Amino acid sequence: MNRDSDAPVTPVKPNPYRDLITNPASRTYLMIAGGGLAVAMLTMFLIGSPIAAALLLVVGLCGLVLRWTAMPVFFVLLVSYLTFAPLGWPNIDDPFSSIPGSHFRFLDVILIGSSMVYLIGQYRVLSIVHVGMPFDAGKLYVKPGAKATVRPAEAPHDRELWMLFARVGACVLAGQLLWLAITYLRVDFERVPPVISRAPVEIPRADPLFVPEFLSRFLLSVGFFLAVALSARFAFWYWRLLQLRIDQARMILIDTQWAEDRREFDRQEKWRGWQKGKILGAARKKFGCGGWFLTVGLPALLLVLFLVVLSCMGGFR
Amino acid sequence: MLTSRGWWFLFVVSEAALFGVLVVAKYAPTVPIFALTLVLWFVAEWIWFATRTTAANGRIAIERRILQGDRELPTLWAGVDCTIRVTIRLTGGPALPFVSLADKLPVGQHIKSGHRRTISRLSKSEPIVLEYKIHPNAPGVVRFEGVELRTADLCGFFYRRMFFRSPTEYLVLPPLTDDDGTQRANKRFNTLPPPGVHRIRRAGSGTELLHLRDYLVGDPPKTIAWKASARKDKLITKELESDVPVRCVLFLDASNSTRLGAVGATPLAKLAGIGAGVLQAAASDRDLVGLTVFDEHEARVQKPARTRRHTMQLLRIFAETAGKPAETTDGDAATLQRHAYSLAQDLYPDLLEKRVNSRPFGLFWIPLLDSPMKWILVVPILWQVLSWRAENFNAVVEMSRSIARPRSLEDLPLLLAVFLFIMLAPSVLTAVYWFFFGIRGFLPPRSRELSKRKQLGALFAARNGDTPASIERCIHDDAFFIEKASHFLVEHHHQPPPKLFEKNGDYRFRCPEKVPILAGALLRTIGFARDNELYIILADLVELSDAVEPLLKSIRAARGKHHQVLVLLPWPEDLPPPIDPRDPTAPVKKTKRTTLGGVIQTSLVEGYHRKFEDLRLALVRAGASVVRLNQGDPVRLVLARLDRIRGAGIRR
Repeated sequence: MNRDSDAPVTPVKPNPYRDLITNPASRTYLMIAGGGLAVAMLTMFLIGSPIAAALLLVVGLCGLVLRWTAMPVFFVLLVSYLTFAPLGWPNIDDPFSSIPGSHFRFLDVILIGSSMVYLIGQYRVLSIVHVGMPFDAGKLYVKPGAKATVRPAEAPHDRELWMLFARVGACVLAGQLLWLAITYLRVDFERVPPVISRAPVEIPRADPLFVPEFLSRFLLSVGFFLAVALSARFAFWYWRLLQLRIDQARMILIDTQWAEDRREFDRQEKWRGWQKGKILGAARKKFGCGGWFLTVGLPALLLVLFLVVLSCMGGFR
Repeated sequence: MLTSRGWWFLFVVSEAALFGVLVVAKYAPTVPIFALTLVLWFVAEWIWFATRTTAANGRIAIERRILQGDRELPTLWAGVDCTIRVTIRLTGGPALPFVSLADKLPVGQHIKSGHRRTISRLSKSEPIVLEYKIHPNAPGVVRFEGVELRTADLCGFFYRRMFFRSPTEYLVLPPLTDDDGTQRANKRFNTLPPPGVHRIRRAGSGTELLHLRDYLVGDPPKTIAWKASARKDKLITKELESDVPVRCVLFLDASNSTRLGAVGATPLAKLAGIGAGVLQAAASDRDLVGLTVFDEHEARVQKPARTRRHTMQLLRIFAETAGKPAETTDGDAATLQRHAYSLAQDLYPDLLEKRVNSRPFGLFWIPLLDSPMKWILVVPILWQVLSWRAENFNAVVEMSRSIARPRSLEDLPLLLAVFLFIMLAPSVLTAVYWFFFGIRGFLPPRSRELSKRKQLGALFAARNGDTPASIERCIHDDAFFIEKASHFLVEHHHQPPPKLFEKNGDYRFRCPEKVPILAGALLRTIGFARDNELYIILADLVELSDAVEPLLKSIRAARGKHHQVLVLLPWPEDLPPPIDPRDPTAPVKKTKRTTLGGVIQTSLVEGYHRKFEDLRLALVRAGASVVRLNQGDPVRLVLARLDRIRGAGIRR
């Protein structure tokens, strides 16, 4: 039975443009993403980059209306680049910004928040009208014309929408705090722990353990994410351990014992195979002539030649 | 698991964050803040998704009900629609906002209406109900494996597939039939004739009049019909019906040869269906029915009886027997591995994960010294040791000098290079060779196949309660692996396409061992017989036309005791019936043989027809009646034949 033959995955003849409006789920997220996009455009305009505002509009419309799946990623790249170079080309000779006071700037907060709202809305629209879940099998094994799994056409829960905005707010706040932390702190390998606050200590640049500011920021941000990822991984590992079912626990025990005794088992099985072959009188698996020559004959021949040459040269006197 | 959308997003925001933190921060701090915020959002989404799925993993309850009408049933009936209702509940934890749930359909069954799959939101207060109808066509066993759950986050960054196993097997009993062998529509199973009313029209010592005949010398005087004698003016004897029911014993062939084919379409399922029809029709005549199920190993006997409980028990045996798949323990290891791995991925994804089913690095390395011939490569390594001995060392120095011929200090590097080459080359070359020999194990397809074999070995060991040594044995011993994989597939009602013929053209599923077992069972039944009995043999014997001598002896013995024997032979659906030369409407035999495939097919068909004819002749000569089961309603055909054998003439 074909997996998709009896499944109400998508409408029979989907009309992508009509579905954007008629589907209550996509309509809601379309409006949210549109709102986020408009605020982001306005913010870019206020920053002083009307080009950026126009480009964001183009990218946003392509993503929302034409459902081009690469557009959110382009949006991220575009916002990053145009914030760095509002007029289209970068001016790297003259740093015009001050890092220490760069956190919690109003326009930044608005821009980042609105961009996140747009991105979340855009991705959710894609999950509703394009692809919500990947296929189990690789692309090679997916039947031509198979329908992708998308979210059902139901209005999203109120809680889902509130959580969206709450998540955006929390992430914006956390991002600003993280930036504040990595610009306020500094890495100093001469101390334990190797982190100090920026203000009171001046580290001489000639010190071999001197960490430049940009590298310090990088190490701190990487350290932060590493710590979060490792903690989360450890927590989930322990949680899954608590949830182990009997069959999984049995499998782990068997697997561990096998891993410990694998070499011994391997030896036993090879002897068993050898003995079995001997008893049955079956010929052992033969290599082809070429394989035998490459694996055994050629090395042996080279060795004999080498010894002959060695003896000819008087090596065994 | 990250989706491609997730990978792309993570890649781009990570690059933006890296570039922003390292380079752009002093020009535009908004860039690193923006990128870091997006990374934070991504990490938060991952943690939230993992929390939801991990919490749901142990909190999903599945309830399955089989309904017919509004009634819940413990078993199914062949030929009758039944509704499968699966309720999936989340008993606690956060809701899953986007799930795709699918009930795994039993092998060989198709959905008649409804959906076995849905996409929805799963929360504690919103259980999901899947409801669909199936129509089991043949008796047997259906196995529901469980429910597949696929979930993703709302943005499509993360995806996880889980399978909640709740294996349940239901018997599909043969269809209910009435005393004419036709499938019952709305009548209940309670139409037994009242005691004393019997349809066996055979002279006996009952109370009902069968017919009148002329008096024969020796007839007891009490059988004289005086009124009829007075009217005719000659002595007339009345014959009474027999009130002794016919004892009927069914012999059902459950050997491997009858279990081949798709689930529900095997010859065994057909034979069981016919046997069940005969059983019910005979039982409705209050005949005693027994059953002997035999295969190539043994025969299991159910003594004749006529209670309703006995009938139901025989129906269950028919269903259980019909549900048995063929045991293909001599298959191809690679084919079985492919099928078993695919099934294991479907049903046991959690037991194939690396955290519970590891594939260590050393598993894939090919050891060089397993082969006795390759121990010769130890010599170059020993060369390294030997060359450091004084006399060998001197010889190497001498040889280096003779090759390099140094004349001044400028030639010293050359001399050193030659010396080092002679000293180290054999060992280094051997080490390089050793390395490339061993590293081949990490390349596909070997690594892929070995990895699958190990995963399956561990899965089989865990399921069967074997020791860890069996994992390694699965890897090395093809015969052992084939046995385990066949058992695994059979347990889940999956059957890879078997090889029907040996390389020399012999049929692999002849099962000649079943003939003496059948013959022995028949003789045992004759030994316990009380009256003239009817033996119905439902067996695939065509391929054994040259090996049925023990059976013929048993049939002759049965006929010698005045028992009746009826042999019902299944006929392959894709094979045309033999042409009767006396039938004017029979199609003209085509003699055109254009292609090699056509020639082979014609030859196989003719061979089968010849074997069937030989078998038929042998059985008929031994005294049995033979029926080929490929035309009309086989149950009615059998019942008509039964009546004729009983001597009742036309069925009422």
